[in-house]
Amino acid sequence: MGLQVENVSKSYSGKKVVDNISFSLDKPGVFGLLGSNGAGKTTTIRMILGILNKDSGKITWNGKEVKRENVNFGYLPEERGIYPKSKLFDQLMYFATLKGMKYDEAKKAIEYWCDKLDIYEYMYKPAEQLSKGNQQKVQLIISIIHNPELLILDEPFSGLDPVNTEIIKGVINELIEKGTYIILSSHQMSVVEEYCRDIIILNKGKTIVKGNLSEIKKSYGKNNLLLQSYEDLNSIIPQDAEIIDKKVNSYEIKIKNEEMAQEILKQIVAKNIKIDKFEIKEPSLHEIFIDKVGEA
Amino acid sequence: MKSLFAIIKYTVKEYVTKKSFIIVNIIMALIIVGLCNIPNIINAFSSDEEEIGSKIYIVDNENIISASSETFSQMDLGYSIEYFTDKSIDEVKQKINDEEIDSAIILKQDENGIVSFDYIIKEDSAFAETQETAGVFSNIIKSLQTNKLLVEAETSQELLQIINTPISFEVQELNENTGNQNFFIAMISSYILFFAIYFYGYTVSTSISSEKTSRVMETLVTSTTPTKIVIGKTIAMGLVGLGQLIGLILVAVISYNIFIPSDFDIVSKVLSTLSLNVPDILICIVYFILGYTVYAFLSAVTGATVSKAEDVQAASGPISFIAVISFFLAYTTSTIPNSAGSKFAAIFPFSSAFSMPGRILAGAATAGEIAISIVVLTITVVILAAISIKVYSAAILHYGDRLKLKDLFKLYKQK
Repeated sequence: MGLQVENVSKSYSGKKVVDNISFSLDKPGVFGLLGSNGAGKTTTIRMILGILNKDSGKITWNGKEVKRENVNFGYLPEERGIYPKSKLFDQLMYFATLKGMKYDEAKKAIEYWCDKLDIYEYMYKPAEQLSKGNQQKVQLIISIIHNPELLILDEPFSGLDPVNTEIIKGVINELIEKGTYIILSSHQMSVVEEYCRDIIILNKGKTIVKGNLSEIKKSYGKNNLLLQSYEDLNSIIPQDAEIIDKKVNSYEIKIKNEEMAQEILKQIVAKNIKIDKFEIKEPSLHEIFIDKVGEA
Repeated sequence: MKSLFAIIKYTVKEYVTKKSFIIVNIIMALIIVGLCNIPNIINAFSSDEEEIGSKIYIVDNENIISASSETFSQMDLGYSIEYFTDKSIDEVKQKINDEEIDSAIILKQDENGIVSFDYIIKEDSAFAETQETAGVFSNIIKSLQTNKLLVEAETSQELLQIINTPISFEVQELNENTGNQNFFIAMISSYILFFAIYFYGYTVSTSISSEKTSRVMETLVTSTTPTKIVIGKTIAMGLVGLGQLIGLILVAVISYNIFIPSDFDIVSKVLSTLSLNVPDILICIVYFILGYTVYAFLSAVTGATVSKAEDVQAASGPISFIAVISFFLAYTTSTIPNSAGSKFAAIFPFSSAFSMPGRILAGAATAGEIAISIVVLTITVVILAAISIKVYSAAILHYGDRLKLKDLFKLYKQK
């Protein structure tokens, strides 16, 4: 059953911001909702949450039309916001109660998540005393405290240091194990690739790519060659090769066919270059995104 | 229902634990205690002066009324009176100049037996008061003289008794609802209700806009419904307002009982003109609640239309305008409770909460008028609640420039 979004559209002052989009989440896991800025992601999310009315189409959760009253959803908005003067425990308790939790149950959940997310010591401090990253964790707790069936995370990793990013990844893994349906909207393609089974890419309100991520990648074919070495690779890269990514010690180039890759490998051996990595691979989501959004 | 209580509880707690709220209340309580101590302060500074000020000599060198100091002290006129039958007028004048006594009455009689007196005073700074005091003495002296003449004419004790008994009287009001003398109360209640209603309505607006400013709104609307948020906030601020009003009134009542001297009767005179009873007070509370709700719902919309706290003031402009005009309508008509303007102000939903309680306290409102006005006010509350919740839910997700009235109409239609 899960979430079904069918032919949903929304216009503001005559301008279509979401144009006939459809997708579904039929089993627990992470779904990637991608798109450039202003592609219509937030509007889509708001319609799924029932805080914005759609112009046309249908959104159902377990077969029932989504209404604000009958959804047990969690939402981490892109715009971070908490009550600055209020103590952490008080506002977490407030939101837990709003979501229908009893005091004891909510208290247990608050303590569990504050401990898990490493902010237990701040529990009785005003939120404004917390760092930005910790405030973000508070908001994540608000969105998951009531064990939502469907969780929408809008840019959950923006502004987080690597340690905190790992902590939040751990939380997402825990939720996946629990069987939560998650919609992840992010511009960090590596994260989306790590978690998402299915994705949709929107551009100017329209769907430009949709489906299973590995199948989408497969359809592009293994056209990328990744070379990694601490030695100079300039001499072995063909003059006419299309360079996708160039870093201090690595090159990623587009190859026309497997023969081209074999030719490069031969040169590496002939020139006795010490190579760390030689990989023929599918394009990254980052590349697909730029390709599709740039093309549209 | 549970989440509505949660919103009320959280909003009340958030507001009453604010430092500014606590400080303002302490200052207001101190002002009330201070005001209640004004009579004590005046007494402390003027106790000596008052003794002199109330000292009057009556000089009757011609023995016209043959009374005594006791005769006057029995009358309890509020003055300390001394009666002399052989006092030098120059000496009396000297005492007045030296401010040992306040004034003196020098009795005279002409050859036809007609009595008159000179009222000697240092400086006639309060003309009306001097005239009034002299008039009081004129009457007393007249009756003492009459008495003396009657005794001299050997009138019987019974007749004297009848003549000396003051004629009693009783006021019988045919139309008890005119209440003109109570317009003062009506004006005061207009003032208090206007400030309370307008101020707490405004706080609903700032409370909502602060949730937009801190961007907590998006999390909030996905946790509960806009209807619950608007109604919860309105109830919460209303409770804070009612609680604060009741608290300050209690402080006033307690300090009145503790600090106001029992002989200081200006306040009790004012209070005694009020026919305060429980149903009247309850109706006034109902008006506070309904009137506040009207302005709170309007303010909820204002709060939702702005993204920055500093825009609240500007966005509240139209509501302030309605409130101020309505208040002036109620206030200016409160002195003439039976005028058409006053009756209109008591029924018009934006001004009835400022006008009707005063009319009720002054005894100028009929049951029919109260019923019509409450029905009109309640219908307005329901309509405004529906509109404000709808506009609120559309406006809260809008960030950027302040929404204009025409944008609100558009949003209202779209949502």
